[in-house]
Amino acid sequence: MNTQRLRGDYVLLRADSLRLVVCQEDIISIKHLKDRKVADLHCLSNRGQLLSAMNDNDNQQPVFAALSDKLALTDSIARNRYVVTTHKKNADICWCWSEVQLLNHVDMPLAPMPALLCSALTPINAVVTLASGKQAFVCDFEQLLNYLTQSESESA
Amino acid sequence: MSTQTDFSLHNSPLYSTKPHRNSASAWLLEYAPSRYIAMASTVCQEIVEAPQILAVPAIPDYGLGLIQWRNRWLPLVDLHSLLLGAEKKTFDKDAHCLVVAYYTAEQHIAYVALSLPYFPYLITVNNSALCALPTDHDIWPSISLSCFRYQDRRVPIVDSSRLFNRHAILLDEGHKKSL
Repeated sequence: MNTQRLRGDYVLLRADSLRLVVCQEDIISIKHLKDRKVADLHCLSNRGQLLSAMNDNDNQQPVFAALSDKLALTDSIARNRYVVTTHKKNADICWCWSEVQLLNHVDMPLAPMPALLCSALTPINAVVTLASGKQAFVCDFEQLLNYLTQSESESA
Repeated sequence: MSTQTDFSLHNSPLYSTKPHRNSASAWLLEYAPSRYIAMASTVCQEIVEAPQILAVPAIPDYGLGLIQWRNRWLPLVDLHSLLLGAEKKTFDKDAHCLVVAYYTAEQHIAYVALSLPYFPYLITVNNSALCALPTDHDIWPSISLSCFRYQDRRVPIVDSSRLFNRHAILLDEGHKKSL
């Protein structure tokens, strides 16, 4: 029986029904988009645009991206994606979420992803059950970017 | 080589059976209409009806998600897709799956839930039914212990450890065609 645990400071990022748990230290900022119309945001909606944004270190305008619950880039930023995070890896890209929650000093059981469901690109490392009873996927944000730029998944 | 001998190739609890002299029991799994594999009766743990599935993004094509079984998360996979790369079927809410055990490369026991379009059933395989492996796909020699004839079909007796470790190895090596 698995007895591994997730311990430390994490952040829960929710994209509709998809819940991701990432290391708090990988996140630079968390902001609220209350004064901006999300429809006006420049959205990275496909792999090519994401790659360009990642390789361009002199982005004049902030660029935004959002994920579907199938872990694909969305075509546009939905109205409910008003919480924005920036991350140490490619800090110019703002990621829009339905909900962001700090998970401080967590200590919870963790189930590693079965090897049969993993590939070299799979960014999800484990599953945890939150206090709410919902499941969340523990992932490394750099691995997630790697997946988004290399997988053949299409935008949602 | 007899079926009886084949079932006891692995000297371990998962594979130990006490077959009659000329026969052994096995689960017959129909993964597509009139297409079967068999697995040793001891590796098949439980038929789970209407499991609750946790959808997992970014998994291989044959994966359907995770199910909770005896306080573990098990991968749920489409057997036809896993075996032959067929397009996976969606898993209906009231569908069933078969939990199968296997040994990992590190010799730990692991479990997989197989999505099957039909209920599996237990049969007795007689040595007289032995035959050569099917030649329709090159996967069979690498995962099969033996083969028998059932209703004019060749049914490979699949070694669960070889099958599931094969896919883990292929994925590790990045040979999976795409996600």
